[in-house]
Amino acid sequence: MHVELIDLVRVGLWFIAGLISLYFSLGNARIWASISTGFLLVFVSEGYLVAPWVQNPAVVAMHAVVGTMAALAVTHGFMEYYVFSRTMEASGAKWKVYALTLAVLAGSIVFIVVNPTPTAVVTRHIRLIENACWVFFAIINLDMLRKIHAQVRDTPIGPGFIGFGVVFACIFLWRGAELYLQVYGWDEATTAIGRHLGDLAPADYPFRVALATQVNHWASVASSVALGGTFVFLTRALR
Amino acid sequence: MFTLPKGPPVFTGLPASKDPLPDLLHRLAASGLSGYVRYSFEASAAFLLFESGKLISAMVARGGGRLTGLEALTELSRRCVTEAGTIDAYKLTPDLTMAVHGLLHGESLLRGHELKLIDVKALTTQLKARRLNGCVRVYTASRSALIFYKDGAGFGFFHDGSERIETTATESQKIASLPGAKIDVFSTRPVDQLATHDMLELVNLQKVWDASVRANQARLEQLKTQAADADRLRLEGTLTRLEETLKTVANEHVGSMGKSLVTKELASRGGRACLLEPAEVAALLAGVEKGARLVAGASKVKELVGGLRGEVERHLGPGAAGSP
Repeated sequence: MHVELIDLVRVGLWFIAGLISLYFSLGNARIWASISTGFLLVFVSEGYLVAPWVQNPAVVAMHAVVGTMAALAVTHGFMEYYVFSRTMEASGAKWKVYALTLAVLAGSIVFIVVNPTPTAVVTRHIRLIENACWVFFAIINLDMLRKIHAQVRDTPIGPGFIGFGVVFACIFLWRGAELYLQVYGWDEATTAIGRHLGDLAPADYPFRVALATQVNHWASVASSVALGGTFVFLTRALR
Repeated sequence: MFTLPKGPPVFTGLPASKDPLPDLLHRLAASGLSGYVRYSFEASAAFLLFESGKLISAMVARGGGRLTGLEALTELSRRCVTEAGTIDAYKLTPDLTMAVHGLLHGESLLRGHELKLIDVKALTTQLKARRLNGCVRVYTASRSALIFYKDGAGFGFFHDGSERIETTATESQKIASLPGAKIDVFSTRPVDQLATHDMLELVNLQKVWDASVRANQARLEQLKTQAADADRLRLEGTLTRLEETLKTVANEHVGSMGKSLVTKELASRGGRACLLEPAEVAALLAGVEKGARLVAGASKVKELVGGLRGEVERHLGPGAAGSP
Protein backbone atom coordinates (compact mmCIF):
# COMPACT_ATOMS: atom_id res chain seq x y z
CA MET A 1 0.00 0.00 0.00
CA HIS A 2 1.24 3.44 -0.94
CA VAL A 3 1.33 5.84 2.06
CA GLU A 4 1.80 9.51 1.28
CA LEU A 5 3.13 12.18 3.60
CA ILE A 6 -0.29 13.76 3.88
CA ASP A 7 -1.64 10.43 5.11
CA LEU A 8 0.96 10.36 7.87
CA VAL A 9 0.13 13.96 8.79
CA ARG A 10 -3.55 13.05 8.90
CA VAL A 11 -2.92 10.03 11.14
CA GLY A 12 -0.73 12.14 13.41
CA LEU A 13 -3.36 14.87 13.71
CA TRP A 14 -6.15 12.35 14.34
CA PHE A 15 -3.94 10.80 17.02
CA ILE A 16 -3.70 14.18 18.74
CA ALA A 17 -7.44 14.85 18.27
CA GLY A 18 -8.23 11.37 19.58
CA LEU A 19 -6.12 11.93 22.70
CA ILE A 20 -7.74 15.29 23.39
CA SER A 21 -11.13 13.67 22.86
CA LEU A 22 -10.31 10.83 25.28
CA TYR A 23 -8.95 13.25 27.87
CA PHE A 24 -12.13 15.34 27.54
CA SER A 25 -14.43 12.34 27.94
CA LEU A 26 -12.71 11.16 31.15
CA GLY A 27 -13.66 14.29 33.10
CA ASN A 28 -17.12 14.83 31.70
CA ALA A 29 -20.66 13.50 31.67
CA ARG A 30 -21.87 10.27 30.13
CA ILE A 31 -23.34 11.84 27.00
CA TRP A 32 -19.90 13.17 25.99
CA ALA A 33 -18.45 9.64 26.32
CA SER A 34 -20.21 8.38 23.15
CA ILE A 35 -19.08 11.41 21.14
CA SER A 36 -15.48 11.43 22.31
CA THR A 37 -15.12 7.63 22.11
CA GLY A 38 -16.43 7.78 18.55
CA PHE A 39 -13.84 10.38 17.55
CA LEU A 40 -11.10 8.37 19.27
CA LEU A 41 -12.15 5.41 17.10
CA VAL A 42 -11.60 7.59 14.01
CA PHE A 43 -7.92 7.66 14.93
CA VAL A 44 -7.94 3.89 15.46
CA SER A 45 -9.55 3.41 12.05
CA GLU A 46 -6.86 5.53 10.39
CA GLY A 47 -3.98 4.17 12.44
CA TYR A 48 -3.49 1.07 10.31
CA LEU A 49 -1.69 3.25 7.79
CA VAL A 50 1.27 3.48 10.14
CA ALA A 51 0.91 0.05 11.70
CA PRO A 52 3.69 -2.48 10.95
CA TRP A 53 1.13 -5.04 9.87
CA VAL A 54 -0.44 -2.66 7.37
CA GLN A 55 -0.29 -5.30 4.65
CA ASN A 56 -2.46 -7.75 6.61
CA PRO A 57 -5.89 -7.64 4.89
CA ALA A 58 -7.72 -8.71 8.05
CA VAL A 59 -6.20 -5.78 9.97
CA VAL A 60 -7.05 -3.38 7.17
CA ALA A 61 -10.61 -4.68 7.11
CA MET A 62 -10.84 -4.38 10.88
CA HIS A 63 -9.78 -0.75 10.77
CA ALA A 64 -12.49 -0.02 8.24
CA VAL A 65 -15.02 -1.72 10.52
CA VAL A 66 -13.79 0.42 13.40
CA GLY A 67 -14.26 3.48 11.22
CA THR A 68 -17.91 2.51 10.66
CA MET A 69 -18.33 1.99 14.40
CA ALA A 70 -16.85 5.44 14.97
CA ALA A 71 -19.48 7.01 12.72
CA LEU A 72 -22.23 5.15 14.59
CA ALA A 73 -20.88 6.06 18.04
CA VAL A 74 -20.49 9.75 17.24
CA THR A 75 -23.94 9.94 15.68
CA HIS A 76 -25.45 8.12 18.65
CA GLY A 77 -23.73 10.56 21.00
CA PHE A 78 -25.03 13.63 19.20
CA MET A 79 -28.50 12.11 19.02
CA GLU A 80 -28.43 11.68 22.80
CA TYR A 81 -27.23 15.24 23.25
CA TYR A 82 -30.03 16.45 21.01
CA VAL A 83 -32.57 14.53 23.11
CA PHE A 84 -31.03 16.06 26.24
CA SER A 85 -31.19 19.55 24.78
CA ARG A 86 -34.93 19.12 24.15
CA THR A 87 -36.00 17.12 27.20
CA MET A 88 -33.26 17.80 29.76
CA GLU A 89 -33.17 14.05 30.30
CA ALA A 90 -29.74 12.37 30.48
CA SER A 91 -29.30 8.82 31.67
CA GLY A 92 -26.92 5.87 31.42
CA ALA A 93 -23.40 5.22 32.69
CA LYS A 94 -20.06 6.01 31.13
CA TRP A 95 -18.65 2.55 31.74
CA LYS A 96 -21.49 1.07 29.68
CA VAL A 97 -20.41 3.14 26.68
CA TYR A 98 -16.82 1.91 26.96
CA ALA A 99 -17.96 -1.69 27.62
CA LEU A 100 -20.35 -1.68 24.67
CA THR A 101 -17.68 -0.23 22.38
CA LEU A 102 -15.22 -2.96 23.42
CA ALA A 103 -17.90 -5.62 22.98
CA VAL A 104 -18.71 -4.45 19.44
CA LEU A 105 -14.98 -4.31 18.66
CA ALA A 106 -14.59 -7.87 19.91
CA GLY A 107 -17.59 -8.97 17.89
CA SER A 108 -16.15 -7.35 14.77
CA ILE A 109 -12.83 -9.11 15.30
CA VAL A 110 -14.67 -12.42 15.65
CA PHE A 111 -16.57 -11.66 12.46
CA ILE A 112 -13.34 -10.99 10.56
CA VAL A 113 -11.59 -14.04 12.04
CA VAL A 114 -14.36 -16.58 11.43
CA ASN A 115 -14.72 -15.49 7.82
CA PRO A 116 -12.23 -16.08 5.02
CA THR A 117 -9.29 -13.70 4.99
CA PRO A 118 -10.55 -10.56 3.22
CA THR A 119 -9.22 -10.07 -0.26
CA ALA A 120 -8.31 -6.64 -1.59
CA VAL A 121 -11.80 -6.47 -3.15
CA VAL A 122 -13.50 -7.31 0.15
CA THR A 123 -11.36 -4.78 2.01
CA ARG A 124 -12.28 -2.13 -0.54
CA HIS A 125 -15.96 -2.97 -0.13
CA ILE A 126 -15.73 -2.60 3.64
CA ARG A 127 -13.90 0.73 3.24
CA LEU A 128 -16.57 1.84 0.77
CA ILE A 129 -19.30 1.00 3.27
CA GLU A 130 -17.41 2.92 5.94
CA ASN A 131 -17.21 5.97 3.71
CA ALA A 132 -20.89 5.71 2.78
CA CYS A 133 -21.80 5.58 6.47
CA TRP A 134 -19.66 8.61 7.23
CA VAL A 135 -21.11 10.62 4.35
CA PHE A 136 -24.71 10.03 5.29
CA PHE A 137 -24.13 10.31 9.04
CA ALA A 138 -22.23 13.55 8.44
CA ILE A 139 -25.32 15.00 6.75
CA ILE A 140 -27.57 13.77 9.56
CA ASN A 141 -25.18 15.10 12.20
CA LEU A 142 -24.95 18.49 10.52
CA ASP A 143 -28.73 18.81 10.76
CA MET A 144 -28.71 17.56 14.37
CA LEU A 145 -25.94 19.98 15.31
CA ARG A 146 -27.93 22.84 13.82
CA LYS A 147 -30.85 21.90 16.04
CA ILE A 148 -28.68 21.39 19.12
CA HIS A 149 -27.02 24.74 18.56
CA ALA A 150 -30.42 26.41 18.39
CA GLN A 151 -31.07 25.07 21.90
CA VAL A 152 -27.69 25.78 23.49
CA ARG A 153 -26.44 28.83 21.61
CA ASP A 154 -26.62 31.06 24.72
CA THR A 155 -24.76 28.57 26.93
CA PRO A 156 -21.00 28.60 27.52
CA ILE A 157 -20.49 25.63 25.16
CA GLY A 158 -22.74 26.95 22.39
CA PRO A 159 -19.83 27.83 20.04
CA GLY A 160 -18.48 24.28 20.46
CA PHE A 161 -21.32 22.96 18.35
CA ILE A 162 -20.37 25.30 15.53
CA GLY A 163 -16.93 23.68 15.80
CA PHE A 164 -18.50 20.25 15.49
CA GLY A 165 -20.40 21.52 12.47
CA VAL A 166 -17.11 22.47 10.82
CA VAL A 167 -15.74 19.02 11.71
CA PHE A 168 -18.64 17.24 10.03
CA ALA A 169 -18.53 19.49 7.00
CA CYS A 170 -14.83 18.51 6.61
CA ILE A 171 -15.63 14.83 7.23
CA PHE A 172 -18.36 15.00 4.59
CA LEU A 173 -15.82 16.33 2.08
CA TRP A 174 -13.11 13.89 3.20
CA ARG A 175 -15.23 10.76 3.09
CA GLY A 176 -17.43 11.98 0.28
CA ALA A 177 -14.43 12.56 -1.97
CA GLU A 178 -13.07 9.10 -1.22
CA LEU A 179 -16.50 7.55 -1.75
CA TYR A 180 -16.74 9.37 -5.08
CA LEU A 181 -13.38 7.91 -6.17
CA GLN A 182 -14.42 4.45 -4.99
CA VAL A 183 -17.82 4.54 -6.67
CA TYR A 184 -16.25 5.40 -10.01
CA GLY A 185 -13.31 3.03 -9.50
CA TRP A 186 -10.73 5.80 -9.47
CA ASP A 187 -9.37 4.94 -6.06
CA GLU A 188 -5.98 3.48 -5.42
CA ALA A 189 -7.38 0.10 -4.40
CA THR A 190 -9.14 -0.37 -7.74
CA THR A 191 -5.92 0.46 -9.55
CA ALA A 192 -4.02 -2.01 -7.38
CA ILE A 193 -6.61 -4.74 -7.86
CA GLY A 194 -6.76 -4.17 -11.56
CA ARG A 195 -9.41 -2.56 -13.62
CA HIS A 196 -12.64 -4.41 -14.22
CA LEU A 197 -14.88 -4.54 -17.15
CA GLY A 198 -16.77 -1.29 -17.34
CA ASP A 199 -14.48 0.67 -15.03
CA LEU A 200 -13.76 4.22 -16.04
CA ALA A 201 -10.03 4.92 -16.36
CA PRO A 202 -8.84 7.75 -14.06
CA ALA A 203 -6.60 9.02 -16.77
CA ASP A 204 -9.70 9.96 -18.76
CA TYR A 205 -10.90 12.26 -15.97
CA PRO A 206 -7.70 13.74 -14.56
CA PHE A 207 -9.25 16.92 -13.11
CA ARG A 208 -12.05 15.17 -11.26
CA VAL A 209 -9.74 12.50 -9.89
CA ALA A 210 -7.15 15.06 -8.80
CA LEU A 211 -9.77 17.33 -7.23
CA ALA A 212 -11.42 14.48 -5.33
CA THR A 213 -8.03 13.20 -4.18
CA GLN A 214 -6.96 16.62 -2.94
CA VAL A 215 -10.30 17.21 -1.22
CA ASN A 216 -9.97 13.80 0.39
CA HIS A 217 -6.49 14.60 1.69
CA TRP A 218 -6.99 18.14 2.91
CA ALA A 219 -10.50 17.70 4.27
CA SER A 220 -9.27 14.79 6.37
CA VAL A 221 -6.52 16.97 7.78
CA ALA A 222 -8.92 19.88 8.34
CA SER A 223 -11.45 17.68 10.10
CA SER A 224 -8.85 16.40 12.55
CA VAL A 225 -7.63 19.94 13.26
CA ALA A 226 -11.21 21.23 13.67
CA LEU A 227 -12.03 18.37 16.00
CA GLY A 228 -8.94 18.90 18.12
CA GLY A 229 -9.72 22.63 18.36
CA THR A 230 -13.34 21.98 19.23
CA PHE A 231 -12.44 19.64 22.05
CA VAL A 232 -9.82 22.04 23.37
CA PHE A 233 -12.52 24.73 23.47
CA LEU A 234 -14.99 22.38 25.15
CA THR A 235 -12.41 21.25 27.69
CA ARG A 236 -11.79 24.87 28.68
CA ALA A 237 -15.51 25.70 28.70
CA LEU A 238 -16.52 22.75 30.84
CA ARG A 239 -13.75 22.82 33.45
CA MET B 1 -73.98 53.27 80.98
CA PHE B 2 -76.35 52.38 83.77
CA THR B 3 -75.60 53.20 87.35
CA LEU B 4 -77.20 50.53 89.48
CA PRO B 5 -77.30 50.27 93.24
CA LYS B 6 -74.79 47.95 94.80
CA GLY B 7 -75.88 45.59 97.51
CA PRO B 8 -73.69 42.95 99.14
CA PRO B 9 -71.58 41.40 96.36
CA VAL B 10 -72.01 37.68 95.54
CA PHE B 11 -68.88 37.92 93.44
CA THR B 12 -67.18 40.56 91.33
CA GLY B 13 -64.76 40.55 88.43
CA LEU B 14 -65.45 36.94 87.46
CA PRO B 15 -64.25 36.28 83.88
CA ALA B 16 -67.25 35.83 81.59
CA SER B 17 -65.59 32.84 79.98
CA LYS B 18 -65.08 31.01 83.28
CA ASP B 19 -68.49 29.34 83.51
CA PRO B 20 -71.00 28.60 80.79
CA LEU B 21 -73.92 31.00 81.10
CA PRO B 22 -76.57 28.30 81.84
CA ASP B 23 -74.45 26.75 84.59
CA LEU B 24 -73.84 30.07 86.31
CA LEU B 25 -77.44 31.25 86.13
CA HIS B 26 -78.82 27.93 87.36
CA ARG B 27 -76.33 27.99 90.21
CA LEU B 28 -77.39 31.52 91.21
CA ALA B 29 -81.04 30.53 90.90
CA ALA B 30 -80.46 27.51 93.12
CA SER B 31 -78.93 29.81 95.73
CA GLY B 32 -82.19 31.80 95.82
CA LEU B 33 -80.55 35.04 94.73
CA SER B 34 -82.45 38.31 94.89
CA GLY B 35 -80.44 40.94 93.09
CA TYR B 36 -78.79 41.26 89.78
CA VAL B 37 -75.94 39.94 87.67
CA ARG B 38 -74.06 42.33 85.44
CA TYR B 39 -71.98 41.21 82.46
CA SER B 40 -69.58 43.93 81.32
CA PHE B 41 -68.07 43.73 77.86
CA GLU B 42 -65.96 46.22 75.99
CA ALA B 43 -68.86 48.00 74.33
CA SER B 44 -71.91 46.48 75.92
CA ALA B 45 -73.41 45.30 79.20
CA ALA B 46 -76.07 42.83 80.25
CA PHE B 47 -78.23 42.89 83.35
CA LEU B 48 -80.04 39.85 84.71
CA LEU B 49 -82.48 40.44 87.55
CA PHE B 50 -83.23 37.69 90.07
CA GLU B 51 -85.96 37.63 92.65
CA SER B 52 -85.94 34.77 95.13
CA GLY B 53 -84.03 32.61 92.69
CA LYS B 54 -86.22 33.44 89.72
CA LEU B 55 -84.78 35.14 86.67
CA ILE B 56 -87.35 37.87 86.18
CA SER B 57 -85.68 39.91 83.44
CA ALA B 58 -82.72 40.13 81.11
CA MET B 59 -81.43 43.09 79.20
CA VAL B 60 -78.48 43.73 76.95
CA ALA B 61 -77.54 47.34 76.28
CA ARG B 62 -75.17 48.41 73.56
CA GLY B 63 -74.76 52.00 72.52
CA GLY B 64 -78.26 53.45 72.32
CA GLY B 65 -80.00 50.11 71.72
CA ARG B 66 -81.23 47.46 74.06
CA LEU B 67 -82.52 43.89 73.82
CA THR B 68 -84.71 42.14 76.38
CA GLY B 69 -86.10 38.69 77.12
CA LEU B 70 -85.09 35.80 74.89
CA GLU B 71 -83.28 38.13 72.49
CA ALA B 72 -81.20 39.43 75.37
CA LEU B 73 -80.31 35.93 76.57
CA THR B 74 -79.39 34.91 73.02
CA GLU B 75 -77.23 38.00 72.54
CA LEU B 76 -75.62 37.54 75.96
CA SER B 77 -74.80 33.90 75.11
CA ARG B 78 -73.26 35.02 71.86
CA ARG B 79 -71.17 37.68 73.55
CA CYS B 80 -70.03 35.31 76.30
CA VAL B 81 -68.54 32.91 73.72
CA THR B 82 -67.08 35.57 71.48
CA GLU B 83 -65.88 38.36 73.78
CA ALA B 84 -63.88 38.80 76.93
CA GLY B 85 -65.81 40.33 79.80
CA THR B 86 -66.39 40.30 83.53
CA ILE B 87 -69.33 39.35 85.71
CA ASP B 88 -70.47 41.02 88.93
CA ALA B 89 -73.37 39.86 91.06
CA TYR B 90 -74.99 41.82 93.90
CA LYS B 91 -77.70 40.94 96.34
CA LEU B 92 -80.58 43.37 96.66
CA THR B 93 -83.72 43.45 98.76
CA PRO B 94 -86.94 42.57 96.90
CA ASP B 95 -87.95 46.24 96.94
CA LEU B 96 -84.64 47.37 95.42
CA THR B 97 -84.89 44.60 92.87
CA MET B 98 -88.28 45.98 91.92
CA ALA B 99 -86.84 49.50 91.71
CA VAL B 100 -83.98 48.32 89.51
CA HIS B 101 -86.50 46.50 87.34
CA GLY B 102 -88.30 49.79 86.97
CA LEU B 103 -85.08 51.50 85.96
CA LEU B 104 -84.21 48.83 83.40
CA HIS B 105 -87.59 47.75 82.06
CA GLY B 106 -90.21 50.04 83.57
CA GLU B 107 -92.64 52.36 81.86
CA SER B 108 -91.15 55.76 81.35
CA LEU B 109 -93.41 58.41 82.90
CA LEU B 110 -90.95 61.25 82.42
CA ARG B 111 -87.91 61.16 80.25
CA GLY B 112 -85.16 63.77 80.02
CA HIS B 113 -87.15 66.64 81.47
CA GLU B 114 -85.18 69.54 82.82
CA LEU B 115 -85.66 69.76 86.54
CA LYS B 116 -85.79 73.55 86.60
CA LEU B 117 -88.89 73.41 84.40
CA ILE B 118 -90.67 70.98 86.71
CA ASP B 119 -92.60 71.61 89.86
CA VAL B 120 -90.89 69.01 92.01
CA LYS B 121 -93.39 69.31 94.82
CA ALA B 122 -96.28 68.65 92.46
CA LEU B 123 -94.42 65.72 90.91
CA THR B 124 -93.79 64.21 94.35
CA THR B 125 -97.48 64.54 95.18
CA GLN B 126 -98.39 62.94 91.87
CA LEU B 127 -96.01 59.98 92.43
CA LYS B 128 -97.43 59.45 95.86
CA ALA B 129 -100.96 59.62 94.49
CA ARG B 130 -100.33 56.95 91.88
CA ARG B 131 -98.44 54.86 94.45
CA LEU B 132 -95.37 54.66 92.25
CA ASN B 133 -93.32 51.50 92.31
CA GLY B 134 -90.12 52.15 90.51
CA CYS B 135 -87.31 54.62 90.31
CA VAL B 136 -86.56 58.28 89.75
CA ARG B 137 -83.28 59.19 88.15
CA VAL B 138 -81.77 62.64 88.51
CA TYR B 139 -78.72 63.35 86.44
CA THR B 140 -76.43 65.76 84.71
CA ALA B 141 -73.79 65.06 82.10
CA SER B 142 -71.34 63.95 84.79
CA ARG B 143 -73.41 62.94 87.82
CA SER B 144 -76.42 60.79 88.51
CA ALA B 145 -78.54 59.73 91.47
CA LEU B 146 -81.34 57.21 91.90
CA ILE B 147 -84.32 57.50 94.18
CA PHE B 148 -86.21 54.25 94.76
CA TYR B 149 -89.95 54.23 95.26
CA LYS B 150 -92.41 51.79 96.72
CA ASP B 151 -96.11 52.55 96.93
CA GLY B 152 -95.39 56.21 96.14
CA ALA B 153 -92.81 56.73 98.88
CA GLY B 154 -89.03 56.98 98.44
CA PHE B 155 -87.22 54.39 100.51
CA GLY B 156 -83.61 54.63 99.40
CA PHE B 157 -81.07 56.71 97.55
CA PHE B 158 -78.06 55.83 95.50
CA HIS B 159 -75.64 57.99 93.55
CA ASP B 160 -72.56 57.46 91.48
CA GLY B 161 -69.61 56.94 93.76
CA SER B 162 -71.58 55.48 96.66
CA GLU B 163 -71.02 51.94 97.80
CA ARG B 164 -74.32 51.33 99.53
CA ILE B 165 -77.95 52.40 99.60
CA GLU B 166 -78.40 55.63 101.53
CA THR B 167 -81.38 56.71 103.56
CA THR B 168 -80.96 60.47 103.13
CA ALA B 169 -81.53 62.54 99.99
CA THR B 170 -78.65 64.94 100.56
CA GLU B 171 -76.48 63.89 97.62
CA SER B 172 -79.46 63.44 95.36
CA GLN B 173 -80.63 66.94 96.12
CA LYS B 174 -77.15 68.29 95.37
CA ILE B 175 -77.21 66.66 91.94
CA ALA B 176 -80.74 67.90 91.35
CA SER B 177 -79.61 71.43 92.03
CA LEU B 178 -76.77 71.27 89.51
CA PRO B 179 -77.21 73.38 86.36
CA GLY B 180 -78.81 71.40 83.53
CA ALA B 181 -80.02 68.59 85.80
CA LYS B 182 -82.68 66.35 84.24
CA ILE B 183 -85.12 63.81 85.54
CA ASP B 184 -86.49 60.42 84.43
CA VAL B 185 -89.33 58.61 86.15
CA PHE B 186 -89.80 54.87 85.66
CA SER B 187 -92.72 52.86 86.88
CA THR B 188 -93.01 49.10 87.29
CA ARG B 189 -95.26 46.52 88.90
CA PRO B 190 -95.02 45.44 92.54
CA VAL B 191 -92.42 42.82 93.26
CA ASP B 192 -94.91 40.01 93.84
CA GLN B 193 -96.24 40.55 90.31
CA LEU B 194 -92.77 40.65 88.83
CA ALA B 195 -91.85 37.28 90.30
CA THR B 196 -94.72 35.40 88.69
CA HIS B 197 -92.49 33.95 85.97
CA ASP B 198 -88.99 32.50 85.79
CA MET B 199 -87.19 32.97 82.48
CA LEU B 200 -84.95 30.02 83.28
CA GLU B 201 -88.07 27.85 83.08
CA LEU B 202 -89.51 29.57 80.05
CA VAL B 203 -86.34 29.51 78.00
CA ASN B 204 -84.18 26.47 77.27
CA LEU B 205 -81.04 28.39 78.04
CA GLN B 206 -78.83 25.34 77.45
CA LYS B 207 -80.05 25.15 73.84
CA VAL B 208 -79.52 28.86 73.38
CA TRP B 209 -76.02 28.49 74.78
CA ASP B 210 -75.21 25.42 72.69
CA ALA B 211 -76.39 27.21 69.56
CA SER B 212 -74.14 30.15 70.41
CA VAL B 213 -71.19 27.83 71.00
CA ARG B 214 -71.81 26.05 67.70
CA ALA B 215 -72.19 29.32 65.85
CA ASN B 216 -68.97 30.55 67.38
CA GLN B 217 -67.16 27.35 66.46
CA ALA B 218 -68.47 27.67 62.92
CA ARG B 219 -67.31 31.27 62.85
CA LEU B 220 -63.88 30.28 64.16
CA GLU B 221 -63.67 27.48 61.60
CA GLN B 222 -64.60 29.93 58.89
CA LEU B 223 -61.98 32.37 60.14
CA LYS B 224 -59.46 29.54 60.27
CA THR B 225 -60.37 28.51 56.74
CA GLN B 226 -60.14 32.09 55.55
CA ALA B 227 -56.78 32.45 57.27
CA ALA B 228 -55.60 29.18 55.74
CA ASP B 229 -56.81 30.34 52.32
CA ALA B 230 -55.01 33.64 52.78
CA ASP B 231 -51.84 31.81 53.86
CA ARG B 232 -52.13 29.46 50.91
CA LEU B 233 -52.55 32.36 48.49
CA ARG B 234 -49.62 34.18 50.10
CA LEU B 235 -47.51 31.03 49.88
CA GLU B 236 -48.60 30.38 46.32
CA GLY B 237 -47.54 33.93 45.44
CA THR B 238 -44.18 33.41 47.12
CA LEU B 239 -43.64 30.11 45.31
CA THR B 240 -44.61 31.63 41.96
CA ARG B 241 -42.17 34.48 42.47
CA LEU B 242 -39.47 32.02 43.59
CA GLU B 243 -39.99 29.82 40.53
CA GLU B 244 -39.62 32.80 38.22
CA THR B 245 -36.54 33.96 40.11
CA LEU B 246 -34.93 30.50 39.89
CA LYS B 247 -35.53 30.42 36.14
CA THR B 248 -34.08 33.90 35.76
CA VAL B 249 -30.98 33.01 37.80
CA ALA B 250 -30.47 29.80 35.78
CA ASN B 251 -30.90 31.71 32.54
CA GLU B 252 -28.34 34.30 33.63
CA HIS B 253 -25.74 31.66 34.50
CA VAL B 254 -26.07 29.01 31.76
CA GLY B 255 -28.56 30.43 29.28
CA SER B 256 -31.96 29.15 28.27
CA MET B 257 -30.87 25.55 28.94
CA GLY B 258 -30.56 26.51 32.61
CA LYS B 259 -34.11 27.83 32.61
CA SER B 260 -35.28 24.64 30.89
CA LEU B 261 -33.43 22.54 33.46
CA VAL B 262 -35.20 24.32 36.35
CA THR B 263 -38.56 23.93 34.58
CA LYS B 264 -37.96 20.22 34.00
CA GLU B 265 -36.74 19.55 37.54
CA LEU B 266 -39.76 21.34 39.02
CA ALA B 267 -42.17 19.49 36.73
CA SER B 268 -40.65 16.11 37.57
CA ARG B 269 -41.23 16.87 41.27
CA GLY B 270 -44.88 17.82 40.94
CA GLY B 271 -44.50 21.56 40.45
CA ARG B 272 -43.38 24.51 42.52
CA ALA B 273 -44.96 23.13 45.72
CA CYS B 274 -41.93 20.83 46.02
CA LEU B 275 -39.90 23.93 46.91
CA LEU B 276 -41.42 23.73 50.38
CA GLU B 277 -39.60 20.45 51.06
CA PRO B 278 -35.88 20.95 51.77
CA ALA B 279 -35.10 17.39 50.63
CA GLU B 280 -36.90 18.00 47.33
CA VAL B 281 -35.07 21.29 46.87
CA ALA B 282 -31.74 19.54 47.47
CA ALA B 283 -32.68 16.90 44.86
CA LEU B 284 -33.80 19.61 42.45
CA LEU B 285 -30.50 21.47 42.83
CA ALA B 286 -28.62 18.21 42.27
CA GLY B 287 -30.63 17.58 39.10
CA VAL B 288 -30.00 21.09 37.79
CA GLU B 289 -26.30 20.73 38.63
CA LYS B 290 -26.07 17.43 36.76
CA GLY B 291 -27.76 18.85 33.66
CA ALA B 292 -25.85 22.13 33.79
CA ARG B 293 -22.56 20.24 33.70
CA LEU B 294 -23.43 19.30 30.12
CA VAL B 295 -23.54 22.91 29.03
CA ALA B 296 -21.24 24.82 31.37
CA GLY B 297 -17.99 24.53 33.33
CA ALA B 298 -17.66 23.56 36.98
CA SER B 299 -17.19 27.12 38.25
CA LYS B 300 -20.24 28.37 36.35
CA VAL B 301 -22.29 25.43 37.61
CA LYS B 302 -21.13 26.06 41.18
CA GLU B 303 -22.13 29.71 40.87
CA LEU B 304 -25.50 28.67 39.45
CA VAL B 305 -26.28 26.21 42.24
CA GLY B 306 -25.13 28.71 44.87
CA GLY B 307 -27.35 31.38 43.33
CA LEU B 308 -30.37 29.06 43.23
CA ARG B 309 -29.79 27.96 46.82
CA GLY B 310 -29.52 31.59 47.94
CA GLU B 311 -32.80 32.52 46.25
CA VAL B 312 -34.64 29.59 47.84
CA GLU B 313 -33.40 30.60 51.30
CA ARG B 314 -34.13 34.29 50.66
CA HIS B 315 -37.74 33.50 49.75
CA LEU B 316 -38.48 30.64 52.16
CA GLY B 317 -36.00 31.09 54.98
CA PRO B 318 -32.68 29.56 56.08
CA GLY B 319 -32.47 25.79 55.70
CA ALA B 320 -35.20 25.73 53.03
CA ALA B 321 -32.72 24.54 50.41
CA GLY B 322 -31.70 21.45 52.35
CA SER B 323 -28.12 20.41 53.05
CA PRO B 324 -25.55 21.68 50.53
